[in-house]
Order: sequence, then structure tokens, then C-alpha cells
Amino acid sequence: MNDVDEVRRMLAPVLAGDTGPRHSPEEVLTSARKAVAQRRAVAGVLSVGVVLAIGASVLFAVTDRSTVESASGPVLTTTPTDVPPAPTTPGHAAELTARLAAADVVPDGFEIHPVVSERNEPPLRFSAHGPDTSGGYLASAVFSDAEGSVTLALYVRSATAPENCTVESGCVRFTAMNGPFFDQPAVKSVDGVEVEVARDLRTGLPGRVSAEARFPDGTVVEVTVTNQTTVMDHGSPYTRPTTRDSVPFTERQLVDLVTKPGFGYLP
Amino acid sequence: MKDKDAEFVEFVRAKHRHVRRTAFLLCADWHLAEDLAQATLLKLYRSWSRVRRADSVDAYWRTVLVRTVIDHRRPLKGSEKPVAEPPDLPADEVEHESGIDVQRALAALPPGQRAAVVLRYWEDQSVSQVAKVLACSEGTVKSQCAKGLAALRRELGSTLDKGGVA
Repeated sequence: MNDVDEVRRMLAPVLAGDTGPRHSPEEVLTSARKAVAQRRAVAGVLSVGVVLAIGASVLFAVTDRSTVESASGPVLTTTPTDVPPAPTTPGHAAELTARLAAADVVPDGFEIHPVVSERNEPPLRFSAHGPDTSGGYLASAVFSDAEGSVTLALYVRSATAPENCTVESGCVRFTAMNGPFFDQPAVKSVDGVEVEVARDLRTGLPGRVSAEARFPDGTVVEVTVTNQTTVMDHGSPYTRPTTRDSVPFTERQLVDLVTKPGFGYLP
Repeated sequence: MKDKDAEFVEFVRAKHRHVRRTAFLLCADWHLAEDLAQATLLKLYRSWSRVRRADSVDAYWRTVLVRTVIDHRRPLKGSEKPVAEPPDLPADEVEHESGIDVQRALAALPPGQRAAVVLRYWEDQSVSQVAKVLACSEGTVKSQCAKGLAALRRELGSTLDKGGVA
């Protein structure tokens, strides 16, 4: 048996569940035509925006208006309607980092490392998250002890920010290929915080635990701990399961992480 | 000559399933594979005049698909977000233990090895064709394929021996 036959024989079982494309060729064509039309429309709007921006900058330069005044100028009228309620700022990111440190809610007994060691980004330090300002702030870290490592990601974002993770949004999800295999998560409420526990399909132990708190001011704080780490291969990140049996943190520790620091999306 | 839309519909009818399956082998998530296949087809439609002039339409879509998969992974730097939902892996799609074993084995491969193995062996492309799609040297492709294949054999050898993988 040659290598091609061997690999095809190996991979065949994973394709057994293929139910075929969800969309007919005609539906794909309709989507494609619509996407092209939208792309042209956006390009047109952006062109108008650039023209207005140039015009506005000239106008403001001539009238010597302040930056604050220029923010209410005509350029804003051409921006997309799904802009976030407020832009992220390095200053507020630093404030969130300080709040996390002061709250004393980070679990003890672990070595804390950056998620991707090659990038040497400090662990548990908030920074703007996502390709635009709608993503809010993210602080992440790998927690290690003798049993293994887990990855923690802590988000502070607006409730109005888009949550969908799509190809178009450029968001990366943990999938079966780049993450562990989990069962459907069990969801419950702990002191008003939604806690989800997803168990590893193989071990039956918690492989990913998350807690999400929604506050009256529109802030959403979410922490997710996953039993895996990120490593780089030829410049591409990928995730690998760790040696640990399950996520080590308690639900209470995660609830405290999202509630006690008093995070706010807005400065 | 047929018009662009008719040609595109004919292409989708012939290739959509294949594109989707290859996308699945690269990402192991049927829902994501559907999205990636759809995104690939949309890109092909936008560039249809170039697609129809290409020496090999199959080589063209493979390249676009791989780039789409890579682009989907790249934003991890600034926008990695573990979703609150479980991975898109309906139980009925991995109901067989052997299927789970294979997916685990694939999941253990670094992306470069996985793409090389899928293109070289599943798609039955030559080393030079794979090198072109992955924008790397033929030596890198050979090395990635050898390592990936060895890892799959190591992980799945016992399963194959037991006849678990049909």
C-alpha cells in the first residue's frame, strides 16, 4: 500500500459524517453576488469617507479647531453603523490591569507565563483585543504547576460589541482541530454569574470552564480557562492539549475573577 | 462562451463538496469547514476571470482555500477568542471511536504538517505542487510530510492494526 492509499484509509473515518454542503450552487452564487455588491458599496462609502476626511482635515486646519470638536465632524457620519460605543485606550487597559492586580483574585500556587512565549507579551496585562475597538480588552496567561498548564483568557468588553466569531470578523475559535474535544457544556448561575463547564470527551473531566458576568453599565466580563496551551510552529500558532487532567480552578475562583476587580468597559 | 454566473454555478456543483471536505481535513470542524469553503468560493467568484484563465482550476482553489485557512488562523495575535460555545463538533459526526482517534491524531499535527499531509496525500498533489500552494521549498514539504505521516502512523498504528479504521 503506498502512502497516498494509506493516508486516505486513515482519514476516511472522519469524513463519514459528511452530510454535504448546506447550500445549493444557486444559493452560493446568490451569496457571492451579494458579497461582491456589498464590497463595492463599502468601497464606495470608504471613498466618500476619505474624501470627507481630507476635506474635514483641511477645514479644521484652516479654522484651527480642537481635536474634540473635530470628532463631531462629518467624517463620523460615514463610518459603519456597528462601531463600538467607545474606543479602547492604552490608558484604560493599564487601569484594568491595575484593578486585576489590586483585587487579589489571581489563583495562587502557579507559575504564570505569557500565552505565547516567543512573543514575550506580559501575562495578565490587558490590551486592546480584536482587529477593531469593538473587541474590548483581553488579558491572558498560562498557569503552570507540576501537573501541567492551562490557558486563561479574561475579557472586558461592551455588551453591545459583536460576539459572533466568523471568517469575516477574523476571529479565531478553538475548534476540534486546534483544541481538545469537549462535550456540550453544563451551564448554571453562580451569584448571577453564568458558569459553563465543558468536559473532555475522553476523560470526562472539566476541560474548559468559563464564567461570564454582565453588569448594569453594559460591561461584560468573561474568563475562560482551557486545558491547553499555544505553541508556535513555523510562525503559525496552534494549540495543544496539556498534561493536566482537568482545569484546576474552582468555580468560585473564576466568579471572583470576573466580579471582584470592578472592571468597567468604559474608562 | 458561458457567462460568468453559469460557469461559477457549474464549478460549485462539481467542486463544493470536495472543497468542503478538504477544508474539514485542514480544520476538523464541519461548521468552520462550511464557512471556509464558502469564503473560498466567494473569493473565487470575485476573481473568476483569473480563475478561468488559470492553468489548473483545481490548483487555484486549493491555493485559495489554504490561504483562507491560514488567514483564519493568523489573527490569533490580536483577536483570539475562545468561544463560550463548545467546539463545533456535533456528536453524530464523530460517532465512531476511530473517527475521534483520527481527529485527535490530526489535531496533534502542527498546521504546517497537517496542510502538507492533506495536500500531498489526500489531494494527491506532487511535492512541487504542494510547495507552490504552501509557498515554501520542496525540501520543507518533504520534511513536513515525513514528520506528519510518521506522527499519524505512530498515533493510528494500533487502530489500523485492529481494523478500527476502515
